[in-house]
Amino acid sequence: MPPPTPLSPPELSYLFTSLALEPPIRPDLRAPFQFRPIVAECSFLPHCNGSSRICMAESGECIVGIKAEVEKDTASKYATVIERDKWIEVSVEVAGGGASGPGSGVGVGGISGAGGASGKDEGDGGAAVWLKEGLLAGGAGILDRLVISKGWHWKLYIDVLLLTPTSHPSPLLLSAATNMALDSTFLPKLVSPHDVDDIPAFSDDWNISVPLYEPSTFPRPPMSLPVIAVGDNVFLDPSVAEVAAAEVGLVVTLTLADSEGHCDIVGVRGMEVGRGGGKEGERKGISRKLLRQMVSACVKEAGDVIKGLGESTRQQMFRA
Amino acid sequence: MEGLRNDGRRWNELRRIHCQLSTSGSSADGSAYVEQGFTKVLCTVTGPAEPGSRQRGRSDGATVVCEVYFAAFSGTDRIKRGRNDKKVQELQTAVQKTFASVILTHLLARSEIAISLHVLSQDGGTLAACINATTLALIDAGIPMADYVCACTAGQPAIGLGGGSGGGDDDEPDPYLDVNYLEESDIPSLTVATVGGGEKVAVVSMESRVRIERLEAMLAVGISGCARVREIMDKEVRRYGKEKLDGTGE
Repeated sequence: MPPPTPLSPPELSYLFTSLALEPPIRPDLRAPFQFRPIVAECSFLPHCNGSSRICMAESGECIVGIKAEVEKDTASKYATVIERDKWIEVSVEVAGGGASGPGSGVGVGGISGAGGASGKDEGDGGAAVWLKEGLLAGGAGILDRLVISKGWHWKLYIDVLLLTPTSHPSPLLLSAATNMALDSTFLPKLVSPHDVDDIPAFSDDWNISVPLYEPSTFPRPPMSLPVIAVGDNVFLDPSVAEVAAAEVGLVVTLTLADSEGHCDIVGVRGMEVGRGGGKEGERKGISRKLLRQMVSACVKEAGDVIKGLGESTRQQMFRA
Repeated sequence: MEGLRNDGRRWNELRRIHCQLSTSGSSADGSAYVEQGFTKVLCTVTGPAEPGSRQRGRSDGATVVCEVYFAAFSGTDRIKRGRNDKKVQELQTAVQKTFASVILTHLLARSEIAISLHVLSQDGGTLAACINATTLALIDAGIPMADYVCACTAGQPAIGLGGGSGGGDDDEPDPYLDVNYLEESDIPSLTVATVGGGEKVAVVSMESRVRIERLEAMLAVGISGCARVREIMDKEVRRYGKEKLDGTGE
């Protein structure tokens, strides 16, 4: 289901035309690759290993808390391989604006292959799935960092709390918050030897705790960016109305590959968009060239944004 | 450590209270964030708006509904609390009943005021922090109320702190003001909320056994705490209001 918008068909058609112009005009007069301002905070929850809060004017607020628990490696009865992807558990909870608000949580993010289901837990599909997918995808290497010692690992619970007035918040909101929380996650330092399979022991001193992602090493935690195209124009960070008027939408997951702001692509998913200004069933599909333009726009333009978020995280971390 | 509690406070000291108005931007009509020590609560208020369903509207006043969410990461251990959890429902009813009586509902007939509370971090005094956050969010939303509703907790330790900590005329130890999680699980405590920071009590809630003679002292300490909480909240509301007014003047 495409995201609901308050716009009427003539308004959508007008918006479509203005976005398809050369040069395009966005409703809020942004440049095509310009992002909207966000408020970002981290490390403010004392009971969490990592936490963050992102506030966006349109899509509301997102709070992420990450807790780590020590767990023994277990192989299931039939599989001899340790199921490492179970080491991370992502859950997304949507709390609408009040009791009568749209808190149903249907199809969070509207991302293809993830829509329809309620998106609360991984089992239901939805936002939790693609957040985790981005984390586990190659290059991120997070699972290796979760190994404590022989036979023991950290189990990471990533709880995402969405306070949003719309059921289709920008994927940017969720992924930026998760990114920032992961970036500011610290784990207690191991004091027992690595190669013994006894219960591991940790230091009580948080001043020598170990960051999950060592600062200024690469790759960094992943981040997903929504991108849409109207006509031949590509837009980053689309608003709800723009998504409704778009012809095609993608969510591109990236990680920062070096300190210059170059990015690696970790994943690309389709994003549900509106009717593209045309009638129902008139969607034409898009050319390969445009698809490539959309992805490369993300890679080129987003580096600075991800870098900026990382820098602001570092300034706010409890152990700066 | 003569005369000090486990977190270094004296018997009559509050924890650091930090409050903020309009935290959620334009997504809600009113919002507020309150930190009392390590207890952190976020409140958003929507309304007065048309009720979601017809049955909920009242022709003689506004209906107040409240939802409380405990974030899974709010405690020391990760616990997911569902909507039907007893503790959640109790908190919901307490907040809803309190504010239904304090909001001037007769001015807002046929409308609904929805309060949603998010407990992000728990460290004792959750109900008190929820009530304080709701008051601020309602003020931010511009909903008419009789006065501030301020809440605070007080606990009764079994053994005094020693070190001549005031009021030592009998052998009864002084009640603790604003208990933290450790104290809350250790000693009997109560939550009290007053309207307008005076002596008018709107909520009292206690879930533990305590000797009847000590109740009066606990209430007195709690009420004095409420007055201090009101001052802090009022200061923030005035600061915020001034900032907003200065901003529009330019």
